[in-house]
Amino acid sequence: MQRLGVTLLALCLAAPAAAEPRVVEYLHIEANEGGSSGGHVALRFGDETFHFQQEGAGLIRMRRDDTPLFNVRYALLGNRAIHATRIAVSDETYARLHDGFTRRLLVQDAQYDRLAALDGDVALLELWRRRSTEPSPSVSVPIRAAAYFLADGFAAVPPQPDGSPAIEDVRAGVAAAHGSDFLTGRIAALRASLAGWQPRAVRDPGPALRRDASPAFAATASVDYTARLEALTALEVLASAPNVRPDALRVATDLAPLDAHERAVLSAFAAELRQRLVALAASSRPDFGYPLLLGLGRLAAVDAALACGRLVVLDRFPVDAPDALLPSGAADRAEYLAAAGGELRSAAAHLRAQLLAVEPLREADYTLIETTTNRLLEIEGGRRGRRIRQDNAAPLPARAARRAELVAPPLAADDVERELTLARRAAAAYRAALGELYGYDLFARNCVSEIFATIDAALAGADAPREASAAASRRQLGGVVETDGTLNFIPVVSAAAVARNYAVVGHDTEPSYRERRLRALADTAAPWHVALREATTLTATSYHPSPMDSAFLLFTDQTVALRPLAGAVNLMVGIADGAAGLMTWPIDHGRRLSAGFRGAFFSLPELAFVNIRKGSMAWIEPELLPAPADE
Amino acid sequence: MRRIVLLVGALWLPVATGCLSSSESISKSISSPFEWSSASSASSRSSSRGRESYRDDVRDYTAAYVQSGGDYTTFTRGVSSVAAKHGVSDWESDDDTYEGIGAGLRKANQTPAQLSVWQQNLTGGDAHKTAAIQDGYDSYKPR
Repeated sequence: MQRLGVTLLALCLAAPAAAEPRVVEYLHIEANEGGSSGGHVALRFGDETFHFQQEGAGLIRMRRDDTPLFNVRYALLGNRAIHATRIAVSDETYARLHDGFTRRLLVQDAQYDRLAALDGDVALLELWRRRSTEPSPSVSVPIRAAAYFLADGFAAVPPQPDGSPAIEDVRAGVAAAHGSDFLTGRIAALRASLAGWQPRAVRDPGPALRRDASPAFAATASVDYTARLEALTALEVLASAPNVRPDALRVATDLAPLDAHERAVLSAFAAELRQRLVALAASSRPDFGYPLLLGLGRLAAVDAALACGRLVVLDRFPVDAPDALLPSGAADRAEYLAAAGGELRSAAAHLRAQLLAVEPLREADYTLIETTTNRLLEIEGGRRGRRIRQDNAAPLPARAARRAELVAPPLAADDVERELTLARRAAAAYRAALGELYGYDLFARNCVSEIFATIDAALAGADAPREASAAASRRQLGGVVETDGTLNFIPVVSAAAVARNYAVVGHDTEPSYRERRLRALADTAAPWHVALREATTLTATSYHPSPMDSAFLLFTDQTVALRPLAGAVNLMVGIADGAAGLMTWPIDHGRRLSAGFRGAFFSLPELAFVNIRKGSMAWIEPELLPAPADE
Repeated sequence: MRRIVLLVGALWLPVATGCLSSSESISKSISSPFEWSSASSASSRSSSRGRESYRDDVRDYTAAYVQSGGDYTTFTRGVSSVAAKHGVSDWESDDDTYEGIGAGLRKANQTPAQLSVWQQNLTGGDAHKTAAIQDGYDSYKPR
């Protein structure tokens, strides 16, 4: 018997390792109060997670998140367990599905870009209408990245007596590469083209939108005008070489000084950036103005870093960035900022070690360093009492300044009215067309149905009849999940349908934040003591309340038998808090009233043994965050 | 009692089955500073993975665009948009852009003759960029 065991072991060791099957994961994210009270679903391909969210104007839109970030947002900060159902697929099916989801994302993004452009036309023509009635400085156009050099309301950029050496270097490079008259000639040509430019609304609605077809539209008036004005501003900045404004740069005094190797990498990056900016000044790309302005600002920042021996970056926050949401209590706020600062410091150090270690430094990598440094400095400033601004998700900094010299001539009043009417009509028609494709419907088009529609399109083609897509699904996924005429539009029901019908090879659960913490706390004191302490929002150490949470007292996610009783208590707390909110309305603008009302509302299902509200977190312990990946 | 249950049920149905945007912070702005650290940690994944992801997106955008019948005149605006999402503003100076475009043209089943037209229109004859497009085209393995 022993010999048999040894033989089997030897055979196992000798056998070639079977190739791991490819796996896609269907995720069911548990409900919580807020936007996703019915739960949520997503499809995961390794480090990319695709899902659909309802957005403004009743549309549902695809998102793609990095998997670690998705887990942090939903399982930890959102305090919602993520249940993964692992589906085995062939390499070909994996690639087909991934292609289908990526294509849909890119197509949809391009379609939304078009909507933004049409809305931009309306805004531009409204501005054109105001030109005849308002004084010039109040009629202006935002120019991305111009605020690093110019103040709001600027006109043509005047020559600078004592200009920026970094920009003067680029200007000299442009003269050497393209001729000494190149800059003045291109500026004159741009001004001439703008002097005859008139806004014209879109007349032709263009081809019908499709979920799988990338739109190919000509630039609208606002896109064209903005590109020209940004190009003109960038070239004028290059020609006059102003210094960056004092508030444009941030010195990373909270981080270690640059070492010799980091300085060498940054120095090489600056040299390459100079060359790239020389080429960009002559680019035929219509939208070269913004990258040129941003690049000039970054060049000044890198030169400043090399001069002072510390990281120096452009301030990425917009001039009018609102305040970030923070915990209201002083102690909570201090704890929160300490945790966020600690994590950002660690991420910043990791990025430096990884990206400033090897040449060449790519622009995308520089952007990562710039973003993380900005956010760390913002948090550290907040710990010293300064306001913390809300950041946006766009990777590139684009602090805009408004240009008051519009160059293009005004239109006659009748012409403006006609074009504005047409522009509004075009934007409304396009929005309606988007609604046809992506209009949210509780039963027929939600986050569940869109996942399966995208799977069907990826496997069988967008226009395949139902029988064909069902056959493709059976062949490639092992079965079919129907969404029409079933309850599968409900996230938790759809997860069960996936488990029943597809070729499932396993299940996995990413616990919620509180589940993790309660497990970790189990051995720290007597079980009854931990259970009692962690059961209320006032005493729990496993709850760092998000400013968005409703008012409640008792957690009901861990207890079933006592849930109606706890729900009744929560209902009374919500009502009482809402009543108090009536009195505090003038001070908190209805925030407490809203929290109380929502608290009462989310207590109702608890009366019937159903838990939705779990509490979400303003912050989590940094050690719970995923470790940065190494090369 | 039955009426109350029905009323509560009707009130809850849209909420209990919906999957709204979990918050504005996820889709449009990162309002919670704690998410900054999470985002930075996630972004600090390896540089090579970031490059691959950028090339793949340019490839897939190019393939979708070409298969949809678009020509090069409006193509570059979309490239700017894809590049910006990856932290790249000056995509003309990034070889990964051209390799991604080349791979996308192959993925869209463009013939070598069609490839040459795209190369000429996109690079203005720049040998380095032309070669990068060719590399992407040659290295893409169709399914």
